[in-house]
Amino acid sequence: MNSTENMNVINKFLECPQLVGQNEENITISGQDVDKLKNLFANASNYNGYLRLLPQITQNQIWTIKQQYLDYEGEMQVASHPYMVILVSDIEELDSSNSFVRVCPITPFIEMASTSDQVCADVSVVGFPFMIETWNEQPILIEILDSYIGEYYTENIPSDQELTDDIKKFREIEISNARFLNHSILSYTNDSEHSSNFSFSVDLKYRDYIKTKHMPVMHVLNPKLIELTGNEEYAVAAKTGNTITENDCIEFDNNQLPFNLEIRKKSGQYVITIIPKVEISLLNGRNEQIQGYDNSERIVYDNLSKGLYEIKSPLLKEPINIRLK
Amino acid sequence: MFKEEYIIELISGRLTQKGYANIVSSVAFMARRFNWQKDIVVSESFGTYWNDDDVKELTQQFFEWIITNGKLDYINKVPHEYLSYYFTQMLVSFVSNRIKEEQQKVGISFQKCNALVREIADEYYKPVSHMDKSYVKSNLASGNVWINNLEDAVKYLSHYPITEETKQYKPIVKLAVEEVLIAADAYVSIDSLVNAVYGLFDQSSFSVNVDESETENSYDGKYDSAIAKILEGIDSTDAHIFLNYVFGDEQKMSLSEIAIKYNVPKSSVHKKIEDFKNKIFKVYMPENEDDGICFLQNLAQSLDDLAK
Repeated sequence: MNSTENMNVINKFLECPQLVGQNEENITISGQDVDKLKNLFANASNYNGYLRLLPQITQNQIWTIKQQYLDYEGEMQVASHPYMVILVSDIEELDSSNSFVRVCPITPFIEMASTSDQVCADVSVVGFPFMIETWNEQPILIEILDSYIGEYYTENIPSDQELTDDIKKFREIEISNARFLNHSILSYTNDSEHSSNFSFSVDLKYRDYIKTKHMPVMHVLNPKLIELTGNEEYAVAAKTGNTITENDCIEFDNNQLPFNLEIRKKSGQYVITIIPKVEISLLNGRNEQIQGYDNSERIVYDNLSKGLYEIKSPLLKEPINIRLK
Repeated sequence: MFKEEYIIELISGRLTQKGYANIVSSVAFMARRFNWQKDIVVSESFGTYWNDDDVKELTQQFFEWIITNGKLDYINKVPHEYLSYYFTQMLVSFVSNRIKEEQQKVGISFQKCNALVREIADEYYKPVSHMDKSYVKSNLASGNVWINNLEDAVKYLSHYPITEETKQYKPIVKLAVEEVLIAADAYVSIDSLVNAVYGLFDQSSFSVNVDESETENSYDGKYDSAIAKILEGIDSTDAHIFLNYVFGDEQKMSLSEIAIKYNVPKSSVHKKIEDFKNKIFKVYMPENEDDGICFLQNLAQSLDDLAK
C-alpha cells in the first residue's frame, strides 16, 4: 500500500464532506472518560475569537464566505463546507449596485500541495497552515464575502512539476466544489437578461417559503407580462390591469410570516415597509444594521439599494433573506 | 462535522460528558462512513468494523496528536465559523497520516501490488483474453507466445528496493511491469505478471535483519550508556508498564489491563510503549541476535531496578 491510499482519505472526504450535526451515532461516555480527556486540555485557554474588522475590500485580503446565500435567481445556495478565500484582484463593478472580485480558495489540506503550490506555514495568519489554490481562481459577487480575516501576499511560483494522480484528483474536486463560489456571478448573469422585463423584483426566503415576485414595467398601459416559472409570480398590482406606478408594491403576506412586507421602488431606490410595528432589525449584505423610522403602525426603511438583506426578529424562527433587484 | 459548541467546550478545558459523547459520535460517524482502516488503532476486536472502544481510542489518539503538534497554539485566530471544519480537517489529516505511517511500516502488500498491476495493465496495455485468462504484452514485444509462468524470464532481472522513504508505489510497479513484459517478449497472463512483479520488490528493509554469526554472549558494561539514555525521563510507573507489556513473559498484560491498572488511557499506554520501542531501536543497534538478546536482558534488569 502506498501514499495513494493515504491521500485518498482526504479526497474521499472532500468529495462528500459531512454537514454539521450530521451524525447519528450514539456512543455512551463515562465521566471517567471525560476526566482523562480534560487532563489533556488542562492548559487550554478560553476560545475568544478576536475582534473582526470590516475594512474596504482590496486585493490580498483573506475572507470567509457566507455559508449560504440567496442567489440572483431566488435559489438558496448552501456550501458543503465553510470556505476561506484570498482576494487576488481589486473590486470591479458589474453595475451601480453590484461588484465582483476574483478569489482563490484557501485549504488547510496542505498535504495535497505540489512543489509548485503556494503554502503559508505561518499559523499566525489564520490559525493554521494553508495552501492557496492558485489553480482554482474564481469570480464572486462581493456580497457573498462574510468576515475579514487578515492579509497575505501571494507570489508566483513556476509550475513545471508533473502532478500525481491524487493531486490531480484533489484539484478536480476542489474546482468542482468551487461552483458554490462562482455561482453567485453565474446567477447574476442569468438574471440580467430576465430582469429587463420588470421594473423591479424581490426574492424572499423564509424557512421553506421561497418566492420571487416581479413588478411589471411602470407607467405603461397593458405592460407585457411574460410567462413565469417555478417560484415566480407577479405582484398583485399587476393583476388589476391598471397602469403600475411607484406607489404600487410587491407584497408578502404569507401566513408563515409574522408580519407583512411591502416593497416599493421610488426614484431608483427601494423602500421596505413592515406592518405592523414589531421588534425587528434589517441588515445589509455586509451585516451592517440599517436604521428605519416608524410610527405606531409600521416601520419603514428607505433609500435602499439593490442587493441582499436579512431581517431578524424574535418573532422569526430564522432570519428572512431578501434580495432586491 | 463536529458541533461548534462542543469544540469550544473542549478547547476551553470545560468539556462535558454530553459534549464528549457528541465528539466521539462524530468521529464514529466519520470512521464508519469513510471506512477508515482500523489498523491505525490498537483494537481488541477483529474485522473492519469500528466498535465504540475503537472509536474512543481513535478520538483519544487524535486529541493527543492535536496537543503534541501544537495545533491549538493559534486557535483564537481561527474564525468562529471555520472552527468545526478545522477540527474535521485535522481529524481527516490525522487519520491520513496514521494510515501513511502504518503503510510505511509494512511496505507494499501483495494485494496492493495485485491491484496496481491490474490498474496499470488496463491503463497502459490492452489486455486480451485467451483461454479464459487475461494477457498483456509490451508494445515493444514481438513474440506471440502465451506465457503463464515467468520464473525463467525474470530470474536475472534486478530488484527494486522498497523502503520507508518510498512515497509512491505506482511508478515503481509500472517500471517493473514494463521490464517483466520486455523480458518475457510475449503475451503474459496478468496473474503471473502480478507474481513476477511482486517478486521483484526488495522489501528487506521492513524486516529485522538477523545476522546469524556467532558472537560473544558476554556483558562487560558496554550497554551502560545506551541503557542510561533509554531510561532517561522514565519513572517507576513507566518502568512497570514496560516490564508488563514489553518484557512480560507468562504474566504479559494487555494494553487494556495496563490502562486499567495504572489508570492511564489505553492510547497513552500505547504511545508510551511505541516511544519506548522506538527509543531502543534508535539508541542501540545490536551487532547480531545474541547481542540484541543480551542487551534486552540488561535493559530489563535496569527497568526492574527502576521499578523497585
